[in-house]
Amino acid sequence: MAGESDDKTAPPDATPPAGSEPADTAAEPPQPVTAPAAETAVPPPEVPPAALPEEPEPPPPPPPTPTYLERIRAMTYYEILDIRRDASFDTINQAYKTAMQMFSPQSIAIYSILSSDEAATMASQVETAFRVLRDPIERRKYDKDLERSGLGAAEPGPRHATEGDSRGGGTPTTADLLLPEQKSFAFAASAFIIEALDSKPPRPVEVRAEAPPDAPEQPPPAAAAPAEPPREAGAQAAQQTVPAEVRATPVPADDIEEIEQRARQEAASPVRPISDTDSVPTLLPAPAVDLNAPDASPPPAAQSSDEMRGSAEAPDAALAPPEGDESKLGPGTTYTGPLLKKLRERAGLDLHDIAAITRITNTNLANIEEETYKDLPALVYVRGYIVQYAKCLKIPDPAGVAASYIERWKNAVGEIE
Amino acid sequence: MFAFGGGKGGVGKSFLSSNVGIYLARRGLRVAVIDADLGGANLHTFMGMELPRTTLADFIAHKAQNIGDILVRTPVENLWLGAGVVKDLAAPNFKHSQKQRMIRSFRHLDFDAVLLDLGAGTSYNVLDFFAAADCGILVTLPEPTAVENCYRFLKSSFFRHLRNEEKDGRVKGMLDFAMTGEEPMRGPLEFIGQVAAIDRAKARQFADELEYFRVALIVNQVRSAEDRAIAPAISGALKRFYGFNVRPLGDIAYDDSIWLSVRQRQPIMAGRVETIAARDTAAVGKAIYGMVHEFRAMR
Repeated sequence: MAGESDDKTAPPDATPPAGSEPADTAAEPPQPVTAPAAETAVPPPEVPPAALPEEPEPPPPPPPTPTYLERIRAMTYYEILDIRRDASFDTINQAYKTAMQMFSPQSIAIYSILSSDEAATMASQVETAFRVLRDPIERRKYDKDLERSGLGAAEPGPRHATEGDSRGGGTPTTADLLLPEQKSFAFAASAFIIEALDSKPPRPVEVRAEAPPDAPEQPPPAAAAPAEPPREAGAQAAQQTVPAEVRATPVPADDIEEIEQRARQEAASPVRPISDTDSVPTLLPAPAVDLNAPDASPPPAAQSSDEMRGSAEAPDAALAPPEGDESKLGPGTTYTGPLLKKLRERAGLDLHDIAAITRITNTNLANIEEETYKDLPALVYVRGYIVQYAKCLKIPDPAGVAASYIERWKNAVGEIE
Repeated sequence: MFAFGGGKGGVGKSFLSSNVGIYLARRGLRVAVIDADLGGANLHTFMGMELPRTTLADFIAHKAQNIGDILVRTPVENLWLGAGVVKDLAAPNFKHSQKQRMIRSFRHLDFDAVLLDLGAGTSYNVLDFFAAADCGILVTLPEPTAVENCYRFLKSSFFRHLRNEEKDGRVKGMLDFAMTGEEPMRGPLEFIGQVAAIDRAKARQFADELEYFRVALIVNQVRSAEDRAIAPAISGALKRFYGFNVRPLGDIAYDDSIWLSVRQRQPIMAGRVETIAARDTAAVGKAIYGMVHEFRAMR
C-alpha cells in the first residue's frame, strides 16, 4: 500500500473490465469443503494448472480452492499455535489459551472463515500441538522429525513489523526453506499453495508415521499403526494413539468426539494418581506431564505400585526409556539420585528443562540427583517433586519411583542418626 | 497516513479518528483529521464544530488545489480538520482520476499524522482510501455481523489494492472474480495460489504485498473479559487463514461516557480522562502515537 499511484491507467471503478466473467471451459468441480474431502492427501489442483497456461483467453476459471482442512493438516504445530520455533514454555501456554478461545464453537472470530468441521479439526490440532510442544521430550522428537522432513531447524528470526502482541515471535516455517528470502507465515501458507499447484506433495504430513530410528520410545501401538496406512487408515491410527504423540493428521469430524472422550478417559485413568488435585484444563487429553500438580499431597506412594502399573501399561510403560539397564526399570528398581540423573541425560534434557516444566527449582532438582538429603525440603515435598520429575522423564510408575527414592533416603538418614 | 475503516456503520470510526486525533495533537504532533466519508460527513460534529466554510467538496470542485487549503483549525492546538462532503456527491460519480488526485494530495500534506475517517460500506472509494493508507485501522465490534463485515472489508480492500496496481488483464479478471464471483474467494492465500498457477513471479509479488499490507485492529464497545479476547482471536484467525498481519491496538470499553460525549458534541479526549472508555481510547492513541514514530523512522 505504500506504492504511489500517480500514473495509474486503471479504468474508472464503475466500469468492469471486458471479460471479467470467467470462461466456462475446463470447469472443474470445486473441491468439496466437507470433512470427507479431506481424505485426499494429494494437493487437489493438479489438473487445472496444466490446463491453464494454454488458455489464451482472459480470465481462467479459478482452480478448485484447496480446502482449509488440507491447509490445517499441513500446518506445523508451531504454525497451529502461531509461535516461533524457539518459543518458551510460557509462550506456548499462552498461545494455547488464545488458540482454544479462537477455535471454540462460540468464537465469533472464526465462524465466517471456517466451517464447523474445519474449526473442530483446528481445535483438535491445537490440543495435539500443545500436548507435544509443552513436553520437552516430545517436542525434541517432533523438531527432529520436522528437520528430517526438510522443514528446517529452529531458526529464531525477527518478525515483520506487525509484531507486538503477546505471542512474542514470528514463525519461521516452510517459507524459510521453500523461499529463503521470505519469512512469514503468510508466505509459508501461500508457498504451500504454490507448491501444491506444482503438483508436488506439499509436505510430508505423515512425517510422524514412520517410527524415527532414534525414537525407540515410540509406543508399540503407534509404531505399528502408521505402517504406511492409506489416508483412511490414518484416521484410525490417530484414534488409537491419540493419547500418545500422534501427528493427528486426518481427524474426520465424526471421530473427534470419540477421540476426546477417549482422551478424557485416559486423563482420568489411574496413570496419574498423583494429580487428583491438579488443574490441567479439562479439554486436555492425557497429558504426559503434569504441569500444575502441586508438590504436596502425594498419595501413599508405596501402595499398590503393581496395580498401577497394570493399568498404566498402555501409554507410559511403552514410553519408558529404552536401552541398556533402564530396560529393566520396574517395581524392583532402586531409584537413586544418580540413576535419575542418568535417565534425564539420556532423554537429552538438562535441569532447566525439568525445572521449566515441573516448577521445581534447579537447586532442589540438583539436590535430589546428588542425594544431598540435608538440603532437601520436607519429605512430603520431595515425594511430590520426584513424582513430577519421574513423569517428566516418562518413567513408569512415578509414585513407585518416589517411594523407592524416599525409602533410600530414610535408610540413609537412619544410618546417620 | 492512517485510515479508519471496517465496513459496518456505527462501529465508532468517527469517534475514534476524532479522539485519537485530539490525543495525538495533545502529545505535540501536528495532526490532520479528514472526513473521507463522501456523502454523509459529520466528523465536524464529533469535534464539536459547525460545518466549516471550506470542505472536501471545494477540493473536488477544483476550487482548492490542495487538501491543505481546505483544512481548518480546531479548538485543539495542532489539530486541523478536513470536513467532508455533506451534500449529495453520489459516490459512483466520483471519478477514478479524482480519487487518485485526492489520495496524492493526502500524501503530500505536511503533517506528522493524517487520519482519514472513512465511510461505512465497501464502496470502491472507501476500499481504495483504506488501502492507500500507511496503515489501515479496522474498527469493529464484538458482534458476529461486525466481525464478518470487517473480514469482507479487509479482503476486498486488499484485492482492490492489487487490482489498482495490476496491468495484466488476465490477472485483473481473476481479481474481479475473486471479489464478485459467484463463489467469492475465501481469502488472499487461495487467490495467490491461483495466480501461481499461471504466473509464479506474480504470485510471489502478491505474497509480498500481503505480507506488507499493514493493518491494525480496534475492537470497540467491549463489555466483558471474553470480548477482550476477541481482538487476538481475530488477528490470529486472519493470520492463519487469510495471511494478513493484523496488529491489535487495543479495545475500547462499552461505556455511557462515550455516548454522552457524542451527544453533547464534546470529544471525550478533550475533557477529563476518567472513564474506562476514555482511558482505553487514550491507550489506543498511544499505540498509534508509537506507530507514527515507527513509520517516521522507516522513511
